[in-house]
This record gives sequence, structure tokens and C-alpha cells, in this order.
Amino acid sequence: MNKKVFFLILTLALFSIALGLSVGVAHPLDEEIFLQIRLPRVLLSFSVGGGLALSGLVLQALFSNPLCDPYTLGVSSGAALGAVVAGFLGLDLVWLGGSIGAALGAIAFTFVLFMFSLRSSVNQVSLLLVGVMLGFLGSGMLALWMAVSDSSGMYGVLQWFLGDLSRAQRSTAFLHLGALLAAVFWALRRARGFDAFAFGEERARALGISTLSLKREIILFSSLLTGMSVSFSGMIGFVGLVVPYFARRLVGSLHGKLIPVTVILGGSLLVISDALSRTLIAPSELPIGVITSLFGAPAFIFIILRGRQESR
Amino acid sequence: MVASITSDHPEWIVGVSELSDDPKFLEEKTSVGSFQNFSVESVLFLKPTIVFATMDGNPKARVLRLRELGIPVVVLSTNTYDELRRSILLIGQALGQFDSARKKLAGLDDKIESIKKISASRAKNVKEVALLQVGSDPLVVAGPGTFLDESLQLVGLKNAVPSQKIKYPRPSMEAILQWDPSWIFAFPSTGSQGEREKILQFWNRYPSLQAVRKKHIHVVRSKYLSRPSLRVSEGLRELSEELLK
Repeated sequence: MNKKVFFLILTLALFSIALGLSVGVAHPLDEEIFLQIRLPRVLLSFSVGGGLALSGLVLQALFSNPLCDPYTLGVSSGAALGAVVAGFLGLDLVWLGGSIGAALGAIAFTFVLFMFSLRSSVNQVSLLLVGVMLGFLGSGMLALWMAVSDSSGMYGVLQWFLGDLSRAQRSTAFLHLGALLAAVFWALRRARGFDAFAFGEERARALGISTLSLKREIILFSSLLTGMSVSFSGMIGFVGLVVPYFARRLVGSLHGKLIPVTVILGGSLLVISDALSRTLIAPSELPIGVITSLFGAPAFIFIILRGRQESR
Repeated sequence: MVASITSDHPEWIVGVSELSDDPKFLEEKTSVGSFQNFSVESVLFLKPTIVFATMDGNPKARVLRLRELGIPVVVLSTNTYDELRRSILLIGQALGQFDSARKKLAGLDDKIESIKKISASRAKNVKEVALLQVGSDPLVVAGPGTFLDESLQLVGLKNAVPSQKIKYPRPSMEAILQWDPSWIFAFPSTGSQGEREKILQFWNRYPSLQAVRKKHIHVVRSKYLSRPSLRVSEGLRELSEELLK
């Protein structure tokens, strides 16, 4: 990674954090709001953004498919479904600002996927399809719930669908950051394996990579990280899909450099998105998933089209 | 509701949710966002001594967050007339205005009683059946167990929607034609002339309905049945007067 790119990424990260900490409704800012609201929110946004981006990156490595993201394997639908069902049963327990129901939903869907991945007859394509179907199942059940619920319940589901970082607490943020750091550490140790997957599973095996166990680790880590993120922030789409793409454009495809850059870019993007969500229609807040999609999708299309024009 | 109990002390209210306009002075107060999407930071910035939240739309997680931040929160519910009464007394108790709240509640109960008597005088042996439309696209109605259903009973009518778990179902037109209500009360979201005309045009497409044939479709003007408060009797009076026409 050359110095210019490194400097650019670092500046973006610092800018996003400074922006996130300085914008908001409260003027002048007091210590309580800074410590209890802004700081936890910025930390959690950065951590969730980084986590979703990392999750997307490793899934794209596993399936050798740049269109994979944390929602591809259906885990986020499972988490959202878990949260909604828990609420319906009156068991919407919250721990450190995170939904226990969402965490259990994510774990349940992860367990199904993990059991499938244990079968040696199940290849990457089959696993991807199972994940997609789980996602449809989760979304279908959520849609069913919306169809039969009262309007107040429906709004609760929508908040899950569109993302919400307003519950951030310092303990939540630090817990998630801890999980992210553990995931980054794990991913960096497996970077060679991710690089090898780009050549296909057979060639990766020929290069000495234990593909079966790496496949299971990827499913486990990315699903748990995604489930944890959804539990604290609801479903925030787009980050896991496009941030790895931007990161590859900056530093290439080797995962040793790609992993930290992806995490930093994902975190910065979500912090900026959260700042916008809090200020565009203040004092109300826009769901953060709306921001990441509305601004991110056109930017992504522009970058792709520009990339195609340059390559001609 | 809080403002009507603290009407002698408007300065006590430092923040309100968006679109709070009754009494009028609430429009001058600082908004903390919509009641379904309020900003925790905005609330904390105002440094309130107490916050009144509602179960009818305030996101639970954000209300819990306010409590975690050390702000006393009183959660109100107005799904039934009994809950409305309890909420009024709870507000009074929380603000040290219990006697005032009790007097105002007694006044409300007197008004409701007089409306019930007037309605009973017109009721026939068989209760007429009414549909309560609360949403247009999709069509949503208020079923048994809701505040509006209870209001309907107070004016001597029966809900066309049969008893079920979903309080605000989205029935098919087929079901509505089968129920054949003799009255339709529509509660518009904005109350604009355009919306009213749209509602009437919609129902006029079904001339076989009793309510349409008898021109018993009423777009409710009063907002006090949709937003239960000490002024709910005004909404009941509107229904009652419509029935007596």
C-alpha cells in the first residue's frame, strides 16, 4: 500500500470520527451528551461498519463472488426475525442495548448454515444457495408478521429493516469493538487462505489450504459478527457489499492489506452515514439504512461506470 | 394530554414531539422529533426533570435508553377509556397536580355520560353496525378492543368487524360487503379536503353497502378520538350528532 493511499484512508477515518462527534442537535455540546450519546454512537457506527465490511469481504473471498455480502447467507434476516418474534412474545429483552432475540435469531440461522457446511458434499454454490434461501425464508416470515400485525408493531419491524444506532451505549460499543478486533486478528491470520480461494477451492487445496475448515470458520465468524451487528443496530445494507469493492480499487486484492483497509473504510462510511441520518431531518432521524442505500448506490454506480470508461 | 393537565404552568413543558399543536402554545416548544422517531440527544439536551412517553408509537428501545441515561420516564397508554383515565391521574400524580387531574377527569366523565344518555335515547332494539376506517391505502379498520371501538359503543353502535386478535385488520372488500355496515366513520390522516373527497369517492364505488345507500359515511373532523386526551368528548359528540341527523 503506498503512502498516499495510507494517508488518504487515515484522513478519511479521522475526518469521519471528528464529523460524527461534532454534528448533532445539541448546541452547545455538553459533556453528558458527548460521553453518553455521541461518543458511543460514533464508536458503535465505526465498529458495526467495519464489521459488516469485513464480513462482506471474507464472504466474497469464500464464494469468489463480489456480489456476496453479510445478508447473502440470510443471517441478518434471521437476526431481524429473532428480534421481531421476541417482541411479539413479550420477550424483547435488551442487554447492553442489543436485542437478545436478534442475537438468538442470528445464531439459529448460523447453526443451520454451519450444519450444512459440515457436509463435504455441499460445495460453495450450494452453500450460497442455502444462505440465499434462508434469507428469503427470514424475509418472508417478517413480511408475514407485518401483514398480520398492528401498525405499531409494523413500525418496530421497519426500524429493524432500516437500521437504528440510537441505542448505542459505551459498553455496547466497546463490546462490539472487541469482537471486531478479534475478527480482524483472525482474518489477518487467514489472509493467505482468502487469497488462495480466488483461484477456486481445488487450487486452494493444492496450495495447502484446509478449505473445509476455513469455509466453516468464515461462516462462523462472519455470521456471528453480522448477527452481533444486527442485534445492536438492525439491518444496515450496502456496506458489506460495496466497501470491499472500494478497498480493492485502492489497495488491490491481497487480503493482508485489504482487511485493515476494508474495516477502516467500512467504519468511516457508517460514521458519516450516521452523522447524516442524525442531521438531515433533525430533530427526527432518518433510518441509517436509507442513507447508506440512497447515497451509496449512486456513488457505486458512478464508480463502476467511470471504471468502465477508463478501461476502454 | 400533559399540557391540558398543566395548563396553568405552560413553562413546565420544555419539549414536545413533532406536530404537537394542542393546546396552541405547544407549537412554540422545542421539538424532539416525531413520536415514532424522536432523538435521544434532543431529549437529553433539554435536561427534563421527567419525560412522558407513550406505548402507542414511541420506540421502546429509545424510551429504555432515556431511563438508562437517568431520566425519569412515565410511560402512558391510551388503548382504552380506563387506560386514558389512569394516564390522566398518573400525569397528575407525577406532576404534583393530582387534584387538578381528578377534577378534569370528573368533568370528562360527566360529558361522556351525557353523550351516552343522548345516544341511548336514539338507539333501537337492534344495535346498528358501523365500520371504523383508520387507513385508506391499504384499507385499515379499527376492530374490537380498540379505543375507537369503545367510542363506538359509547354512542350506541356495534363494530362491524368481528372479534379477532388483530386490532387493526386490513379486511378485503368482500368481507366488508358481507358485514354491510350501516355507518362508516373514516378517520383521515391529514384531514385535507382532497383526502376527504378521496375517501367518499372510494366508498361510493360500492352502492350496495347500506352506509353508502343511506349516505351514512362520515369523515370525522375531530382529531380527539385518534389522539385520546381530556378532549375526547368532543370527538364523541361529533359521532353522536352525526347519528342524530
